Amino acid sequence: MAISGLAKIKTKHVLAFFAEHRSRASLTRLIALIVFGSVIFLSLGAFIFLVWKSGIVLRQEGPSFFLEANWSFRGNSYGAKALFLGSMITAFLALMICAPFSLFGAWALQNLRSEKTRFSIEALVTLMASVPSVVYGLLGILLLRPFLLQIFSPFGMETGDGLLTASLLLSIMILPMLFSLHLENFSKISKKYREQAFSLGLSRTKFFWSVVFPLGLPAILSSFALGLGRAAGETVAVFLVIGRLDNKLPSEGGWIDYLLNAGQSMTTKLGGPEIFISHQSPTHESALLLLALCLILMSVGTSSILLKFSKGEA
Amino acid sequence: MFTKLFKSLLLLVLVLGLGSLVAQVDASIKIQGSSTVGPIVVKAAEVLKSNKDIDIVVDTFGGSATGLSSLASGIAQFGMISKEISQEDKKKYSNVHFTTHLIGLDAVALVVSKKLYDQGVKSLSLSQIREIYEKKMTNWKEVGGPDQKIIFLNKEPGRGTWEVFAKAVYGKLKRTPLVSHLEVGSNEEAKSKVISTPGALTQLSVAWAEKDPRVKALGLLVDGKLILPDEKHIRSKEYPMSRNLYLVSSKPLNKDQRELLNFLYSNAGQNIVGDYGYLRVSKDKN
Amino acid sequence: MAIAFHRFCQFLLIFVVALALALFSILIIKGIAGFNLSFLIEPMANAGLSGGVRYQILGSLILISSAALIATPIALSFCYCFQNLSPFRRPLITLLHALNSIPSIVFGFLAFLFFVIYLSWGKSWLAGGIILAIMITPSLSFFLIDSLKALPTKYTETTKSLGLSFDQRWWKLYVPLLLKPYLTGLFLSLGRAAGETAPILFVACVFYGAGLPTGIKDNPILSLSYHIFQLSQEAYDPQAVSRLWASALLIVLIVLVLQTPYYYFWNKKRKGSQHAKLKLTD
Repeated sequence: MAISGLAKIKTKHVLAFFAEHRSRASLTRLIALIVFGSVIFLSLGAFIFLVWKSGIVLRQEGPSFFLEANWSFRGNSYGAKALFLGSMITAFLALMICAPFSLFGAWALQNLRSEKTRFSIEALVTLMASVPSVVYGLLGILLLRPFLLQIFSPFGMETGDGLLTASLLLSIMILPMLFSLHLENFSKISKKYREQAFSLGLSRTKFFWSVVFPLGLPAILSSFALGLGRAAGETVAVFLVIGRLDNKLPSEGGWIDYLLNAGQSMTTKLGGPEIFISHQSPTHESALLLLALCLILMSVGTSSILLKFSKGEA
Repeated sequence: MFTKLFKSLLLLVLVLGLGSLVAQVDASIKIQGSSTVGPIVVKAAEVLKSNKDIDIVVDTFGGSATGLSSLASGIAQFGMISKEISQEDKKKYSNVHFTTHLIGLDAVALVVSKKLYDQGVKSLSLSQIREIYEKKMTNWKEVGGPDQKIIFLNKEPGRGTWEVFAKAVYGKLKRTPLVSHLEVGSNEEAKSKVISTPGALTQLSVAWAEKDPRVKALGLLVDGKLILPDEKHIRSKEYPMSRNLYLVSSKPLNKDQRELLNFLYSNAGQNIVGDYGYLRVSKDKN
Repeated sequence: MAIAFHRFCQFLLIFVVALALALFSILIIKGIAGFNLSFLIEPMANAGLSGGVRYQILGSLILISSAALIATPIALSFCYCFQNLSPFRRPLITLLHALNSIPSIVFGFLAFLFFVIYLSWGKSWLAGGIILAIMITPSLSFFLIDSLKALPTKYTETTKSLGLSFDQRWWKLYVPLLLKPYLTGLFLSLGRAAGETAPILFVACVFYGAGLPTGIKDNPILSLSYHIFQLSQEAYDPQAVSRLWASALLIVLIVLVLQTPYYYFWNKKRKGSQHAKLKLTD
């Protein structure tokens, strides 16, 4: 990431930089450099702080932090497996639910002949992206939760709070973003190849599967990865509908019970009152910091891979 | 032109920022803690603001535990708690000297929706509660109710309500088994969820339960005797989950803080306590 | 077969559109009931069950204004570094992408540890502003950098041929030209910031009591997003519900108003993209 970027600045560049740019010194440049430098310094500092502080809980728990699901600050044990699982499952499920709608819906829109309709729909979906997450959370609690409870209670859903509810809510939240990205992608490819396809007599569907989809696949995948990242990092909306039940695993009651009923994710754990409570207990605080560190690593890792990927194919 | 404007704006902000860093106007009283005590203090704050122009800021994010931790770390000047300060608390905050100020009485009740109550769930014994908490009893029909799964909505362990419950049911906080349940946070959330979830049971302040016809507080069977969470039993502490409502401080009080306490002890303040359904501490009049 | 797929796609599209329409209709229908002048002007009373949201609105405005003031110089500096210090481009972009991807709650948590505990600021509106600024800086910087790239080269070439130094070009050419796109991007980011709850959760907000700040330390403020978050946990109290919907509608309106310039220019940009003028068979 930053390290490989920094590595590309070879010594000779640095020397040349200072040598030839000495005459270009100015107040603006100085200020800009100071700001840039301090941001880097702060980010690195925060990162190091996180790594350093996480040591405490790792020393106590070791790998069971990741492998065990026995998070209990009162009992001084911090197995976060259920948290990791919760985050990953909700994010993946959200993506899976959302993917066909965003992908194929965007294709349908791309093929729409009427410019006006297309514009309105595009605008509508883009507007949907502006809605704050707390409003989605509200809708989740007031509308989605009772609705799902009605449908799924014969299947074992108890309260309407749960991983499935959270995943559905998340999929609605990432839908506008994915939709716009796919639309842009399809629009670009379509612009390039549509005439040729027309002259060859291809149907729209054939055009999609033989041309647009294969060519657009890298961008589609990277959009999905972006959506996944967004879903995994969402806190407030999920907090209100996930039930906040610690340490539940699918092995206990089966997958259906796991999905339909309450759970917990990394972000909802961090969004709760444990942040305040942890203040006096170094181990508890360290555990929460380690969670935050994992979240950072996951998101930064995903975005770096995406970056490399899109730079590579561009 | 734009750069001049921008530069002058920047200057303005810097001046304001530095100025406010230096000039510390008489700060408001920060109060953090229990969502049970919260409404009383908020109402009192409204009165004091209009009568004596005292600024009070109240937050109930996180409950009693956050009240104590905010007080200990200096974020708040008063903590609100709806339980006693436990041994663990004293150990955790060993360098802080807490002073409690009793402002009202309340109790924790186990609460179900009115619907469930009407269907026959009217009381529980302490051992039954233990079985439910430990997930050994899972259906209401085992205690005379309908054939409905018991959904226990546990208050977050940091909540005063939870500690009162745990102490009453298990004797010592440490002995409380570490079972994972669905969690609810504030009193508001607990009440909302118990109404909207079929078969739900939660710990809730008695005052809150009384004020809402959609929920009902269960009686407790102690040694075979049915004790209802009403005023008589709470004052006499016969009801096992009775509790005191405190404002906690850790430093000597200043003038404004004294005003707040005096107000809460006064008739007007105690009227507020009564209005919210809690029990008064000064035995003056109703 | 091909038609089936196409119909399938259209069906999904209709579903998406219906969802979006339903979303906004529900917000408007349910929100408009509680939406009146007194709601906007009056302060909160009775722990949110009555009164208005005056200080919540003001608090949110204070937060985003301070975020704007803090983020601007930082984003400008990043843009400057990007243009002028080419060896630093790669790490700069990487850093920005990394910061951009971090979940907001992590910012909130770190801000809590830094401002509330370490600096002993207690809950402070400025801490909220700073953390929001850090959150919007990456996307704002990207916006600026892209706008800079999109500037017609004839300007750059002219000024270069006149012998202007980079600094002179920067202040006399780039910055004025960037003003409009910058403001657009700024308001877009501020719209996002106005809806954020997670970063300010621990750092700047309380539910009751805060009015306008009188200093920096120990001066929390109210915020519309936090207000909705808190109230939604009381979601079954009928009095709270109508206020909730109204607050939700209000916050969406505020965000949309802030993002209007962006949408206005977005429309113009869109004209460039191709739409299906040629009808393929089936």
